[in-house]
Amino acid sequence: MDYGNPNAGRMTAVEWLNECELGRASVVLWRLQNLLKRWRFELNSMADQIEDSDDTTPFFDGGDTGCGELLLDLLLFIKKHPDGSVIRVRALDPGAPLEIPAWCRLTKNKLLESEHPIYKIRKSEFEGDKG
Amino acid sequence: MSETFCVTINSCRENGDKATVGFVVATAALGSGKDTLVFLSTDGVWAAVKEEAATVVEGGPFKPLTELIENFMEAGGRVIACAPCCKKRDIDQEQLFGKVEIAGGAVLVEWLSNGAPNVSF
Repeated sequence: MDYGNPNAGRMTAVEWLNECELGRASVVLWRLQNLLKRWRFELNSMADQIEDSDDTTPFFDGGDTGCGELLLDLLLFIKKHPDGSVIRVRALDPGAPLEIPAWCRLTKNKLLESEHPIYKIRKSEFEGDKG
Repeated sequence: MSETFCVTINSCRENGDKATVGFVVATAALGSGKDTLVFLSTDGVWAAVKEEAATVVEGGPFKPLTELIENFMEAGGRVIACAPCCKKRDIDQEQLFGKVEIAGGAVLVEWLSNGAPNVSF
């Protein structure tokens, strides 16, 4: 033992993790936790899809698109539906909470519900077909 | 509220990022129901040249410039390239995307004079 070096004889965290059972167990638990997080995310996505397929409301899935691509696709989608239709939108883009309400004001469509990433929009009976 | 919108783009070879974002914003305007004009001038006219546009790929989340331009025009967006800016660079109509028009400043002035807001990149 080198008494001149204060770190002499100390294990690094990695060495400790490799050496003791508790350390190995911690690594296993950490990996398990990450796996569970991924499963939870995938299950939520599946649940959303099941919910969507049960709902007769027209559904527009913007995925992770944003800005121009999202808005143009949404406009083209809503044009296919008659005035007064209620459209359900999913937009994962972090800008969507501001973008979607602004888009509704611009196109005169009515934002009925907004709970990111899900939005419900009623197509305007008078001006929703614009553009 | 104006029903028309204008995006002027003055960069492409020098700054592909600006050309890319310019077309993204133009697409947002079009997607928001605005009759939208993109006016390309100075270095920005290179965006109208198919071979040049193909070299501008900024990467995610942006689509390649070619795709942005084609989608914009296909959805009804109008693109005009400044005539003298093209002439200075020996760019002719055959090199451009099919629906791009070459015109002078009067078209831009008329579009803006009729009330279209403008954002410049």
